[in-house]
Amino acid sequence: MGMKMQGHHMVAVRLNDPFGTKRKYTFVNRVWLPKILFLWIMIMVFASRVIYDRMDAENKERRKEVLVSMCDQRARMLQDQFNVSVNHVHALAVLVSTFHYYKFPSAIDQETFAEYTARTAFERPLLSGVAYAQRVVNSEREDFEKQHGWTIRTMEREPSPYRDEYAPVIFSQETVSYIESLDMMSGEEDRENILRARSTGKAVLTSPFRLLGSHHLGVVLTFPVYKFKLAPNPSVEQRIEATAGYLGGAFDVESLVENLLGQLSGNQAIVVNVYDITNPSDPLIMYGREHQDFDISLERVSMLDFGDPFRRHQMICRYLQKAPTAWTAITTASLIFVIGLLVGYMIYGAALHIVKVEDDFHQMQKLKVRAEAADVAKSQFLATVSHEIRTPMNGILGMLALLLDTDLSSTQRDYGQTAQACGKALITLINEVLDRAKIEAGKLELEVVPFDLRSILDDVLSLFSEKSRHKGVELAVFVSDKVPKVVVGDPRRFHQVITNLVGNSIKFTEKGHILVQVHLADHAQVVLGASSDATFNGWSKGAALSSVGSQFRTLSGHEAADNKNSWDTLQKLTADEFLSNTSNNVTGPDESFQNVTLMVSVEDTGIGIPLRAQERVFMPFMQADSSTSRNYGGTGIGLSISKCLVELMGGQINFNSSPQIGSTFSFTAVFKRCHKIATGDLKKSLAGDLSVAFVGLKAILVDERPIRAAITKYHLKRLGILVESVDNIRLAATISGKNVSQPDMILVEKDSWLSTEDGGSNLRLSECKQDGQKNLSKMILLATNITSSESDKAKAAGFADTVIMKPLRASMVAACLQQVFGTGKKPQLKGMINGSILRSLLCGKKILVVDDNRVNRRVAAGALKKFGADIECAESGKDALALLQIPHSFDACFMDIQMPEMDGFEATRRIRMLESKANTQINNGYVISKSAQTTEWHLPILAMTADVFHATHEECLKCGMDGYVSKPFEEENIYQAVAKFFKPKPVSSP
Amino acid sequence: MDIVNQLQRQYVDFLSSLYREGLLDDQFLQIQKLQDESNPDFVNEVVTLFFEDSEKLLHNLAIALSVDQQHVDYQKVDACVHQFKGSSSSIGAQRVRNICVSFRTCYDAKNLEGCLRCLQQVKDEYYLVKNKLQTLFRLEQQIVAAGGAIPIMG
Repeated sequence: MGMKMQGHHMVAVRLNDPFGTKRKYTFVNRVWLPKILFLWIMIMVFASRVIYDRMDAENKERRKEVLVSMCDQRARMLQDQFNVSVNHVHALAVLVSTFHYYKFPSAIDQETFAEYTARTAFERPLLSGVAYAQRVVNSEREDFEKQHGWTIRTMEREPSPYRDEYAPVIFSQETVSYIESLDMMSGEEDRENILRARSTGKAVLTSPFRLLGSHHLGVVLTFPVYKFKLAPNPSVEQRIEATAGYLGGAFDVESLVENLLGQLSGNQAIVVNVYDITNPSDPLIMYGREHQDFDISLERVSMLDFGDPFRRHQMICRYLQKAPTAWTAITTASLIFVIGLLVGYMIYGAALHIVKVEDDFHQMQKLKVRAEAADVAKSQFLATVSHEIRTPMNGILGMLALLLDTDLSSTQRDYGQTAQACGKALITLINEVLDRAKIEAGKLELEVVPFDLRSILDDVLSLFSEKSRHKGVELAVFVSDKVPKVVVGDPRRFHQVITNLVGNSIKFTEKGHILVQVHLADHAQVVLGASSDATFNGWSKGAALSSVGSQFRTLSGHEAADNKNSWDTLQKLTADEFLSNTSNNVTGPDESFQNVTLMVSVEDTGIGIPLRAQERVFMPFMQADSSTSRNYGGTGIGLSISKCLVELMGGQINFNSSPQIGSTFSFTAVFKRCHKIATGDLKKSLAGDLSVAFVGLKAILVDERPIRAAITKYHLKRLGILVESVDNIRLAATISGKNVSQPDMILVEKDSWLSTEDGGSNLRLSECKQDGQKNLSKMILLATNITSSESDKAKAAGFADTVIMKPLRASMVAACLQQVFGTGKKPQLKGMINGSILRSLLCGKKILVVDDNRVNRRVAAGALKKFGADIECAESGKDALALLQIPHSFDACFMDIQMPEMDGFEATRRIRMLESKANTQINNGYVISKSAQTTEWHLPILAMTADVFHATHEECLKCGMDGYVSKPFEEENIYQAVAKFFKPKPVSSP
Repeated sequence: MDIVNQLQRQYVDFLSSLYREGLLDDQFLQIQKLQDESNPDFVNEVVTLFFEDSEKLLHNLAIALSVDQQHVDYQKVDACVHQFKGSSSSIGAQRVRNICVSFRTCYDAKNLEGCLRCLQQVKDEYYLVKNKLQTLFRLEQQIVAAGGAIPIMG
């Protein structure tokens, strides 16, 4: 119980561990993952926004710079050109004053002026024309008009009304000749200009207005012309006084600027406006259109200085079109955003995937642990339950046995027997389940002991002989001669597998045969491979159909699923065998190998396995279909156990089955060769000694079926009998007749006998029997089953000697032959009770029983004494040690495990220590024991334990024990444990 | 001979009832089988040993579990129960054995109350089986005295 509790606890710990403490993730935090993604997206939005802004700002800056430079350039050029023109007008003014006033008479008249100005017009490209107006006060008007011969007119081309002062144009450039005689003072703009000009003495400009000729916007430039040179810093009055006239020129600002701009690049891109901002609240436009659809967001104002301090001008430049959308910036920014988004998403996706994979991993781990725990728990449960069920089942069976011994009515007995049979079936099932559970739990370990394979097969045969005989099914074993006599492996498991396969075959076979064959796997492969190659060469598959009617060349004449086992193949296998027997060298290299792989096949002619069920044959608890268990019983666990066992033995199992024809199961198993010389003893104890009384006898075997003959031969050969086989009795008769040496026996197969049963052959046979010497050949009939009438007939036909019932087994054949020949030896007791064997094993042995429990000790001693052993008891490990001080005369020791003070393990360990000490001393030359033949001290120690589960085999072996016996004692159990150590002694009486 | 037959029948019936009630199991049968000419009094001998041991063990158990309720010597209890279990299973007194098993779970869990209960049960069962076995031996003696053979079962 404690162990179990601990086991569960361990499972629980294993369950908890991976999820409790070890649950950690590599680097991805699943909770923060979406937040990180969102944050990343935000960062990307922000970053691309910043990039866009920066690029946009750069664009704007550049645009602005371009505008500024363009505007400034235009303003400067305009100003320069303007100033050049102004200077020229100034020069003209100086010209007029110099040549008109300082000279007397005037050197200039209209003609001269017109020519001069016309010729110097290229100097003043901005001026549409220049004219000179003379200052005429009203008092001088008449003289003036007379002198010039025209009247002063106003701007409206009417004779000028009376005024204080006039300024009629006297000289004019040809381009503006229409203004001659017009009074400049009559125009509002000009008058103001004139007044201002003469008071300042500088060039002055009008505000822009529509010019007379072109109707373009323009300004008029006016220069005063003085009659004499002025004193430095003259007053305004002095200036007015000295004024002689005014030189004026009209600037056609519109065409001027148009012209100017036309010379410059980028003209189309920008809009230029020129304003007169003398009155800042009301700027007057000089050039350009006021309200237009252009980009008002960006403008550049450049100041213009036209030389008139009174007037202020400015140039305003704007782009014609709005700033184009910054596609580059937008594309770049969005591209970066998209890339960032993708990268973020990819990382997010990867992280999600990692999380998922980790989750899956943990899930899988959890499931794995759970599944393993469940598996372990299942196996433990199965083992425990099976064990627990066995105990009461034993009680039930025991009680049933007791019940059946009592006085019962036949019905009651029938019920009881049925119950007992059911109970036995249940126990078998439980044992199988326990086996399986053990295999699954990995607890099953194969033994490694030498054993005789043939005797194992004989045992299996003997198990099923009754059943096969009852069913009329022929059961036979054939072991190839190449298979070594003794191999090393686990005989019980080998036995179990074969029993299972043969049991299945028996169960499902109603007619025909069951044949077990054992060959060397390598050899069989070589030969079978060769035969399949050689099929075209006459050995076709159809050859399985023999010439004997429609029969197949199998053991019973029924068709088998796998014709590998047909006679042809066997013949080849055995033919090769004989060959190799003659030339011993062939087997030479083979035997140098440590391992020997056997191929065992079990062939039957039963109902076969339905095709759809074939794939689940090896699955536990699967039968072909539900009706199978109804008709044939069984659980379907056997084959799965067999498979496990075969795999443990290093082999494979497979099958070949056709419904209604039969199945052939074959498996391979790897065993070790046995090199020990001690095999002789072993063979004796395990196989039961086969009689050597028949070595050298001769026999004639009459059998029409070669494969059956081969099997019979095999068994007889094991007894050392030389066999010659013939097809029919006639042939046998002739051979025995003509042979010089009379055969010792003639074995006749019942079928062959019946098929040739006519008067003649019978007669011949009996003749042949009678006409010879007294020492006649023994006539032996071989039969699977025989009816009483047949047996009578057989006796009449001369088979008086004996009938050997099949299945053949070497030991049984030997027994029968002994009976026939009366060799004096008592026939071997078949299925000798373990008790008598045990007696033979234990008789006279001195055995020490160590147990602290008096009752147990007494019972153990009693049980062993019953088999003739000489018992001594010790009640503790210490006492045992004292008794076992070397030298001692004990042959074995049965040791309880759980004892106070010193338990069985400890005691054993100490005993082994004592022994090894003694052994080294022996090796060093001291002889301690008188009986010097004991080379080494090794006392067989067997553990006695009630608890098979805790004190496992390994534990016992670990501390030096040789085996264990479960308490309470059972004969079987003791026998198995003891048989390893003791050779049987002849017993006087069984 | 009639009386012998009757006694023998009675013996068989009685023994069967012991098996039926689960007082004894297969092991007792095994012990009976061990008894033969060379060992004529084997069963009696073993059973007597069992009685002696058991009474000592029961006494020890009673002391171990009653002297000092605070410090029960569970090791001693373990030793005693183990012995008891061993001998009872050897003799085939399976009901005693079964209680020993549950006794063990009790003292493994240090369950004093349970231990005391088990002790009582084990005592009851022991005296029951002792009683029955003594009856059985009496019957045997009567059969032998009447000149009959003891019937062997199984």
